[in-house]
Amino acid sequence: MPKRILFVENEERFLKERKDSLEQEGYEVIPAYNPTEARRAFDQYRVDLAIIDIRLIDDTDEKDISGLMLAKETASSIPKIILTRFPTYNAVREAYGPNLDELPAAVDFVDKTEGPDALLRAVRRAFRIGTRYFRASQDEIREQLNKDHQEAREEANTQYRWSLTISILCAVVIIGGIGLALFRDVTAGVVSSLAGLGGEFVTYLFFKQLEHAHRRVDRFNEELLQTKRVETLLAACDQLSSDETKELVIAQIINTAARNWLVSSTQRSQNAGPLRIRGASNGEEPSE
Amino acid sequence: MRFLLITRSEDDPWRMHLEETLAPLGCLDVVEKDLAIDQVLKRNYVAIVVDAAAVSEFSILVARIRAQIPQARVIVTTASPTWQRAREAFQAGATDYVERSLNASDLFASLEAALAKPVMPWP
Repeated sequence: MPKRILFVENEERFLKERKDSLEQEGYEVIPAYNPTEARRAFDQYRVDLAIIDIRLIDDTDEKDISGLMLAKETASSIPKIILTRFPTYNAVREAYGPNLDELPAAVDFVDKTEGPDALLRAVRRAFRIGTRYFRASQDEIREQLNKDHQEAREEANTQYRWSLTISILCAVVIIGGIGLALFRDVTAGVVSSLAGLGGEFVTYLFFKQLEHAHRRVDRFNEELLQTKRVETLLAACDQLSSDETKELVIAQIINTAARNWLVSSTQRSQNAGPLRIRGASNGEEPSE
Repeated sequence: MRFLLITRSEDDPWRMHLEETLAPLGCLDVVEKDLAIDQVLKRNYVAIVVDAAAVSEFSILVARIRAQIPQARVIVTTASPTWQRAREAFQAGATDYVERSLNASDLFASLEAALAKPVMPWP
């Protein structure tokens, strides 16, 4: 199966010339002439690589960076090459700058006047390093998640211990107050019991804080599980004998993982429902 | 915070300028290209500033640093930035490519922005 390239370019003639040269090399090229068509193509097709012109709306407008915006908005699991007739060092910095997920928006930057061979070289390089970028970023994500998860668990444990200690102390004060009221001094006993009740209220506030810590642990557990699943699948891919099948399966895993992450983070931000507290304070792994 | 400047010699006048600019953030060590890798391995630097004018084939040095320490933040500075050299720097693994401004506030702003950037994975 040929590798599929989405070519986003508003100059029709230039696009046709480069499309022909890429097709001669055995790639399948899907043309898109503006950001809207490109977004539709990203949704509709399995795209292995995208080549995106910087000025997609108006070639004469030096403020037109619609192509760069498109590269930054779409999944960083798809390697991208930025193309332009007006290269500047700031455009290069933008292109190699990080996306929201802290991966580079583009893996290469090509001047249109460098010719078709430069673009072909960039395409070959992008296919070579695209997957490696994703794997390297997986390692970093896992490391960061592990660190954050550990911090959140420590925070939850500390708050749990404090809450429990205060609660026990307050219970002792209440019982002592009742005893005092019954056997010695009624006023002192009532005051003592009220102080104990006040303390229990403070403990309740501590527990509310604890809920927040649990929610964080819950989220990190979920993200760790997702990362581990992708790692397992990628490791399983190494067992495949054919390189072509391997690349195809890896691309599918990457696209599915990116989609899942996007869906779960959207759901998380929209979810204002009841809390699901899982074994954060006792170190249990969450059940699926 | 500790920074490392890789430049031609310790007498580079720009070094003084950089040292003064970075003073609010931390201190600056200076090393020549040939000793750069050893120095990088010795200490934990927040950022490694490579003077592109002083280091011929700076991209090889950047790639060597990233290969040794993948989490290193390498900032390439140059007096005359070009898009080709910017591409070369990023492809070698640089975190940023900034103009070697003599204006202290401009230099501070660009270094601060470079420090805020995440270090890209080193494939």
